[in-house]
Amino acid sequence: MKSPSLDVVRGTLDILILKTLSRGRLHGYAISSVIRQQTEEALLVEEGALYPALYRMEAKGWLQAEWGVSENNRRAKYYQLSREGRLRLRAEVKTWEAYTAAVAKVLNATRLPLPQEP
Amino acid sequence: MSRILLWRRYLRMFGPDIEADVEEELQFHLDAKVDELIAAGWKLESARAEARRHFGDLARVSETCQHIGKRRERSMEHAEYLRGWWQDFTYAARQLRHRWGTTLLVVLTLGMGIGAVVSVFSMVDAVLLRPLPFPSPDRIVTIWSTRQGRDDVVTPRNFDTWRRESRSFDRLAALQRSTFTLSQAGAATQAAGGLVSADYFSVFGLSPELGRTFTVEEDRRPRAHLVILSHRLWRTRFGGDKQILGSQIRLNREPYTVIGIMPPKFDLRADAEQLWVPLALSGQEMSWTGGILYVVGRLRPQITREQAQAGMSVLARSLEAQYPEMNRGRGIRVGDFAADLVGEYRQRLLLLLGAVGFVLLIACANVANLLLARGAGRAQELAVRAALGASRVRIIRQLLTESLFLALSSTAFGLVATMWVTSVVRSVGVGAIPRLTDASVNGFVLGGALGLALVSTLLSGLLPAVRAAHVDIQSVLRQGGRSSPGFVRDSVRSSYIAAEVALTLVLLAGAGLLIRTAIAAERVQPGFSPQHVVTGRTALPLNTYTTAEQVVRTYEQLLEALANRPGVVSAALTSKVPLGTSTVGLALKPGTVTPPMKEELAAELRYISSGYFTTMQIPLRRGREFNEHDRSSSTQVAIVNEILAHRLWPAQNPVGQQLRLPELDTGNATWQVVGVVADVRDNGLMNEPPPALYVPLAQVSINPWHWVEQSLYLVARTRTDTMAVSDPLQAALRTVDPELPLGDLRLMEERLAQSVSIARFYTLLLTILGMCGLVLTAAGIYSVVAYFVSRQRGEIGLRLALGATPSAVLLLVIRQGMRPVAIGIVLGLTASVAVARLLASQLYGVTAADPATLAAVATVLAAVAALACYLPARQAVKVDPLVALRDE
Repeated sequence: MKSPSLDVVRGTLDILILKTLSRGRLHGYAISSVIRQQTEEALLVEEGALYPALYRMEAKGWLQAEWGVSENNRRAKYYQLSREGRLRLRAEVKTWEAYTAAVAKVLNATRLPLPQEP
Repeated sequence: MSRILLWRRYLRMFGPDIEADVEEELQFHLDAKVDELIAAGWKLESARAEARRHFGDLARVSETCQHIGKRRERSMEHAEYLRGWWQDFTYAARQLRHRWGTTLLVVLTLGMGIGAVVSVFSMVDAVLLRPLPFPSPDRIVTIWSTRQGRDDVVTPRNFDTWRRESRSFDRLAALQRSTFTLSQAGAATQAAGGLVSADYFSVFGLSPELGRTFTVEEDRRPRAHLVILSHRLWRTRFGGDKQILGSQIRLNREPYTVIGIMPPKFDLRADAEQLWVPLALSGQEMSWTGGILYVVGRLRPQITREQAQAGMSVLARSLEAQYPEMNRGRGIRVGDFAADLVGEYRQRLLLLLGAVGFVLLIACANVANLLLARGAGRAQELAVRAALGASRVRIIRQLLTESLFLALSSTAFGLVATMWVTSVVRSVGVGAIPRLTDASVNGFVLGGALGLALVSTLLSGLLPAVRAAHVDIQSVLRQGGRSSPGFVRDSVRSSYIAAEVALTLVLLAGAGLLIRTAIAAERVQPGFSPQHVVTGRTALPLNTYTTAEQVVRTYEQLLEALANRPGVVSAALTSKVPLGTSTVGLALKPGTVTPPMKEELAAELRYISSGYFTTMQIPLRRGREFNEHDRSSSTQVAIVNEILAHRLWPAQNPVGQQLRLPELDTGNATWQVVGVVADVRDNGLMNEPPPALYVPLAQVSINPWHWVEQSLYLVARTRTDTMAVSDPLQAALRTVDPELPLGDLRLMEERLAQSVSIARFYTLLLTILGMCGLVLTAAGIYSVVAYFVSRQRGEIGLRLALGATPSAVLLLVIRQGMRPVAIGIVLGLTASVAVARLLASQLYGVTAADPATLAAVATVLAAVAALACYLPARQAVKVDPLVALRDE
């Protein structure tokens, strides 16, 4: 890992997974790869957090899991969004947008310089 | 729906092995990472190490995932299980709605059965199971002085000795039942009451609702004029006015100060005591040899009733040595207060519970047969389900759910019936049975009802369900669910019928024996003629009428006034009327002068006026009646009844014999027998007449007058009973002393009816239950035979086509139907002999194993069964051979 990455902030992992799966079914490794690529390696999803999160969301009924065959002909567990998962994603996105907008307002109002990346 | 299917697919492919799944998934991740690294130019070994390092704590992640996965698995199984039940339930509801006719029939049948059982159970709960509303009620005992195994009231001397010398009781208290004249606003009424020792109430662990109870000082002579009222009397007579506390009321014409009101829970029975005054035993009463006291006690902690009994038995022997004249041959019994309170009703209630239980069993058998028939009709549906992969257990569960559904609906129906019954019981108030009015549908009864629903589900549904699930799929699907030989000679159905018949026979036998008893009681000669005889009790206050002469003179005036009333044919006085509820009855031991008695004999003593036997129409067998020449100054005379005469002088003429009555007069005086009268069934029609001794009231001294509280019954035979019952008695009392009370006023005919009313009601109940059983059984036999016939149409058609006569076919079907009936009758007869023994104590004039009764009910049952077979059998004969064979 040459470029430094941010650890995924607690609580945003769910929304990232849901969003990633909204385009189709993926296995765990693919999920972490997609997130890494899409954020241009800015966000690093730790496996130690990813799998428990997948299991948790499956238990909640947001995800449906199914075993299938991967690109290289291996048995892999694929995840996809359930109907509840889709609803959940929509709600989470709304919350996230409201949250970031609010934070942005605060930051703008105080006219403080934006924090520099280390 | 799609989610379930998806999950099922997942389950079926991989099974519930979460651990392996997690391991595999993570391994896939690592391998993919290694592949990626190798593609980026890493060496295999270092790529593997880097992948592991990058992943972090593999074991912990794996464990977390497994944990979440397993929990999910469990909750899904749970949900699946519940969903299965819900499916069964909605399916059952649909099925039952679809066949609403059968459903209604089943719910009515089972509902009646369950309702009957729950109704009786709620009474059993109120009367027998629920503990008395006192602190540690199991410590409360009753203590009786026994003679020849029968409980008897206790002499003051014995009570006093028990209280001082026994070590088994915290407290020992006594009650002397008495009737008080309560005067209010010029009108005098009588009220049941008691004279009680100071710690009577604390034996029950009760403190008064208002005020206080008696102190030890108040329990001494001279008797303090203090009174404690029952809650009921306070409410009904004094309007629940709290001001009554400390004020005075008039009892037996004297002012008594009200010092306390007892709480409502002390009103255990409708006929219980309504007021209490101090007992304050006098020295004179201590020497009485006749018992007057009911003794209750509270056991010491750690002392069992058996230990107390052992101690009292020892005491009984030492008392016999110390006071032989009052204790010869006597024992002591320590009884459970609650059990003694309920008495014989316990057995009656339990027998009734057994009887309704039988009806429920019969109903269950009927429902089982219905379900069996329906199960057979549904063979195809079930076979299809089985073919589609439903397991046997699953099908049984499905069918049992239907049964449970039925049982629950029936229980709901039964509970409605129970509430109706208990509200009727509450409003009618069967007074004699303690706490019956407390019967209600409470949590305990509800629990019992639900338990009953489960039991009847299993009883009626399990076997049909198991059999339906064991259907041979192939043959059923091939035959399209039509007759298969397995259903023709169906042993299960037959055994249900046999069981129903046996149960019904037992019920009918019980009812039959009770009916025979009622008939026998009807035929019993009471020993007197009750028509047009009015009776009522009065009492002369002890403070106004202090000498025997005064008492006798007043009563003679009363008798004269009564005899002279218009409409009165003849009149008399007696200390106890036959079948009276009065507790004034005395036992005594007549000592004969010649020949000397070997053993003691108890006899009931009555003081009567002249004309008593004429008025009651009690036949005089020998000698003469009392007349106006039998005065206190003349020879003391007595009349005995036939039983007593036979016991005392089996081979001699009783008239002219001499009697010594040590309890009646302290001296060595003798009483001369001047007459013998016929026996009277004094203690109920179904009880043998007791030995009785009559003395003229003119010769009774003041002490024996006190025993009966100077009270006597006025007896008048009138020309008709159209006139108001109380008129002649009331009028006679007014002419002598307007303040004299009149209580226990009743026609003798009413007393006669009352004495058998409970037994008769009980007989009626059992007869109704027997009839319910009979109807249910007949319906069961009918439906089974009809089912056989419908299933055997082909066979019957074949027989007819081959030349069998219709009557031969008829006989064949009836014989087939009657076989289980015959088996049931044999079983039922055997069971009846055993069960009837439990009834023995309630039978009169018929033995428990009475062959005539058993033969009669067996015949009735067989006849009804034959009819139930005949009706569907006639349908069999009408089968058109051609149509039947074509259908096959």
